[in-house]
Amino acid sequence: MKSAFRKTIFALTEPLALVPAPYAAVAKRLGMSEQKLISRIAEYQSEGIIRRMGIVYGHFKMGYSANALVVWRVDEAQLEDAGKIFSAFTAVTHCYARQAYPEWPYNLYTMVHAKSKKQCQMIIREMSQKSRVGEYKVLSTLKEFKKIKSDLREILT
Amino acid sequence: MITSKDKILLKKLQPEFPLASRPFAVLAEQAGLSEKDMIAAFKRLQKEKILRYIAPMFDMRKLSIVSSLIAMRVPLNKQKKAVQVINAYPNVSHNYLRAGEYNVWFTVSAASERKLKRILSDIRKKTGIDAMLDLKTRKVFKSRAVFDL
Repeated sequence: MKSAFRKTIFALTEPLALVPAPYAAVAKRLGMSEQKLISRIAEYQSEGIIRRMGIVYGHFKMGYSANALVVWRVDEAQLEDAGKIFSAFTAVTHCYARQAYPEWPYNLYTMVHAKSKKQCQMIIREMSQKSRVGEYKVLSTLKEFKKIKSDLREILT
Repeated sequence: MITSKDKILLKKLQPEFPLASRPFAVLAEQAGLSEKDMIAAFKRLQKEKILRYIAPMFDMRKLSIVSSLIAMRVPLNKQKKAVQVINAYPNVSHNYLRAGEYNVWFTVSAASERKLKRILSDIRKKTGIDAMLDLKTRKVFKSRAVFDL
């Protein structure tokens, strides 16, 4: 990784300040002009390194307090279809195919967010009906031990 | 305290933060507010923890970062210690207690496969727990913020 690139993304890992010109503040720390930083971020976006400048909310505070990780056992041949069907649900925020194990045969993972436990269960039943995947486990979130913003500096150094 | 106007604003706000010299002014114009009022609203939302932060959403894979979801079977009497060990890694961003035989679920990211493996074997050693599943991502079908709901 080139050092100028590294320096820029490390500076961007810090959340933006709530000030009129937040990019200018980051640019100043980097010793570059605001315009230069903005065009660099635009470049990273077009390269897909940055998906977007994101406003990140806490979902509990948004009223989505009933969350569950639902793991599904899907035939390999149907994995693609099931993944697409689940992804079409707005309540599903994450849908990943993952490695399965003999003692844990689930290969498709979905995060379901709802405003109540009952609503969450209803959505999961509908997902099962639409995909015709009957074998699944609902792993409700009982406690949050940790939730932080990933720090690229810690991960990459 | 957030106001009823903040709640209306929240509903309208997109998850994308403008890439512009005066981003709050851009949002303010869309919402028919002043830039100053928009910043004040963001500060209230942050204070109430409705807003977590504004930052770039990096595609970790494009940065050659490897990530995985790990499930561990942790007996109750070892839970506190295990959580301490796991949470101590800056590489662990999320860690939850879930219902089921595998009860501790966390995400871990590292600069290479080798580093990730080392973190996992360290966690095994330090916690004395061997029952661990490395649930590697094979394909991402969807990944989006809760706000988009």
